[in-house]
Amino acid sequence: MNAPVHDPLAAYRIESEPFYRPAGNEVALYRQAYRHRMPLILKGPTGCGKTRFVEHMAWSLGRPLVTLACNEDMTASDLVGRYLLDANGTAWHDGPLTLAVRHGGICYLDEVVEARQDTTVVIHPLTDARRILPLDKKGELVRAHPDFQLVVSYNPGYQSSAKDMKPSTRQRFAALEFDYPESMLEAEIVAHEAGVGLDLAAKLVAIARCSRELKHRGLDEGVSTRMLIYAGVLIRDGVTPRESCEMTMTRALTDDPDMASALQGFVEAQFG
Amino acid sequence: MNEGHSGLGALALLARGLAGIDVEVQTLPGARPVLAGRRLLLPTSASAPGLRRAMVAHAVAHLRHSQPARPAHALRPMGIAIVSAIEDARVERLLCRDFPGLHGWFAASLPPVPDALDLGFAALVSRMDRLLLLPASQDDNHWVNKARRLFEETAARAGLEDYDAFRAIASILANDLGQMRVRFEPQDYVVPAPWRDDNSYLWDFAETQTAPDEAIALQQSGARPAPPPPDAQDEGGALPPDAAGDIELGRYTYPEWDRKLERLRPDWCTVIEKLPAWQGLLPAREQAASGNERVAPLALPRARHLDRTHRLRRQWEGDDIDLNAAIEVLVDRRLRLRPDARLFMRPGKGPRPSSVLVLLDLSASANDPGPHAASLLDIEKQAALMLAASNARGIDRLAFHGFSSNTRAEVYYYRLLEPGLPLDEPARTMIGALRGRYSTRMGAALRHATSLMRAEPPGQRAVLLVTDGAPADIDVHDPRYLIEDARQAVAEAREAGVRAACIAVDGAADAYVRRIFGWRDYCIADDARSLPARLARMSARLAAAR
Repeated sequence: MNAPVHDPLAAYRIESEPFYRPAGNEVALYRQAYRHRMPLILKGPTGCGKTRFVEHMAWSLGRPLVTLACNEDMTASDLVGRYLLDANGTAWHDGPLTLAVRHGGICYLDEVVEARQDTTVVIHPLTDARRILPLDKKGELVRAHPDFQLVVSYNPGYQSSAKDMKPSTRQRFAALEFDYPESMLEAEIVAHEAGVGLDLAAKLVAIARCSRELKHRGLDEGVSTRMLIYAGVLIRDGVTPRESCEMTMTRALTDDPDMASALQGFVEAQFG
Repeated sequence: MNEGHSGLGALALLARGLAGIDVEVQTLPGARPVLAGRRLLLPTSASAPGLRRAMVAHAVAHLRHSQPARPAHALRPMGIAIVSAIEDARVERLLCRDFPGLHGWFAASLPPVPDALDLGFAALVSRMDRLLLLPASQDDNHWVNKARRLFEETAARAGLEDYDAFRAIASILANDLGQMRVRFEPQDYVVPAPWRDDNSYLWDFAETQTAPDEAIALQQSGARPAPPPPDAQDEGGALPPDAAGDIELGRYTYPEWDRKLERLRPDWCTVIEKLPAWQGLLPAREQAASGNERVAPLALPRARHLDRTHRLRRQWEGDDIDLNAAIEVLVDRRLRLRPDARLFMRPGKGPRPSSVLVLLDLSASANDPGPHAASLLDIEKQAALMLAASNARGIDRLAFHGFSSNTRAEVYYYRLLEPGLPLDEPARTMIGALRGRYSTRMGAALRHATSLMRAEPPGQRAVLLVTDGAPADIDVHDPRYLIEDARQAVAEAREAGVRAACIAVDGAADAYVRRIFGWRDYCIADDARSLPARLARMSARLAAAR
């Protein structure tokens, strides 16, 4: 890598190409958005490849990726930084967002709606024409590095959070919608990632299709592509298909005996 | 018994997943399953889980691949039976192509091989079923082997999707049987494969004079619970106690949305708050005595939020340095003492009051006994009592209200349990005394509930409606009118900071709940027995949301 002598974002650089199989023209759209450093929302169900996509794009654009998983306890200081005490008194420590803003990385806030709305407003001045990050506690105004881009993800279908972004936050972003890929493509992805045959992957995908029919009928979300990869990995290692599906899908998705029995039925419908 | 019931729920989910559409699964006395529209009636005699799953799989095969209700008038009864048997085999093949594991379910349910000397119609069909299902099996009967040969040839030549090609070979086979003088007695014939339905799904017997056995089965299936009578008014009078016996507490008027005029009609509906007529303590006792009342209290998550007015000082970590503590640290350092490293401060967390109003639909249709004897109203009551009993460690302020309507002039509203009050004996009795009557005018009830919720402390405020059908009332004939009005009421509630959500105990609810409550705030319970769990989960979500 042709990194400068001291690269504060060295740890955030992605060395090898992350596997990503495009389902549409999202790669081209992302590149266009990045050309203008447009803030992006990636929407889609759990485990459909949002994070993998942004990793892939960061790799192909050669930018470091600073990922932050948002949670309810996260405060603005966790994003921008805070004063800590050292031998000489207090010292300011940049938070991950400030790091990316200062040194030109892609900052990825995963599951952004999990963070409280008053936390997410700190990104407002970054996501319009100003592209600045005021550090009010430090009294500094950080102008965003030309390479900096903000990307957030969220999962609109996940009912239990039932949270939403403030309209004022939402309006600052362009959005790309993700969904589970269509059957053939999903099978290819599972086969590649889990290292199993295409036939087996297609069966796993068929199970997932059935489970996704049960959304709103007791399941918040069906079996995700990621779960299929887990199941495939176990099968590749010699675990029986039934056991690995039970472990990675049925038991992982639900505690309800009826639902578990139906999910196990889908597994048997493929593997006997 | 209970086990069998919980099995039905799992079977309905199984069918939904495999077929991609909602299928209602119920039981019915009889020898073979009956598939009527999207309702699958399993014979009560079949209790083996493997057989029941095979029945569901076969029904899914029809739902996915068969065209229902083809005219039957051109065929003789024997022709119908053969065409149906070939169609059964065809759609099962198609299904097994997508779900190869299902083959094992069917094979495991195969009846024993009939006596080789039995050349009766049922025995021949049974042998044909076996040959078509198990490629490795052998049979010495010419007709049965011909059936297999024709079937495999057609499948290879025309493909399994070609119904007409298979219909043609079925005609040949039926003709052969006629030549062989095999007798067919429609009254005695039962489809030999125990997991297959009686095929009434496939045929429309509208014009046949002599109804074959399938038609009889069709009539038999008419024993299932009828849809609620559209005119619920007469029924209301017959049901004790009459609404007039209730004690009136107050009257409120609300507007209603007219979808054609696209505006609110002011003061259109009158909501009458009432106390349900006193029934004595009997119902509460009854419920207390029934065993399944003793359900462990549900543990619900508690909504928490940061309280900016409350700062925690001297913390190990936090957003800001607590200056007093920092100065002490520096002083300690100068004195070469070991400083206390807890020098941060952060906002504290305090529980935030969350209020959830569960609004029960008390229309006459809730009285209808479900497939498992208990009416929806009984299940609603049980679920309400269970949820209220779990209140101690769950939602801060839980309320139960109910409503029913008899034209826009009389929307009855019952405040059964007020927010924040414990579930005491009078409240239990009141819930127990509820009777379902009249209709479902959702909009007016939602508006009233919203106005009551606005008086609740700020925080999460939600109305959770439990209903068994689309909004309807006897003075409204446009089915979309009340749906649009309810949608408007939900939007108004949202503007007022009250979230409205719905649990619909109605497999066909897709058509309206989403329109009314938006794409996220609803949940469909195909099976009323899953209502208590759904209610608990949904209200916990509403309480935990922001």
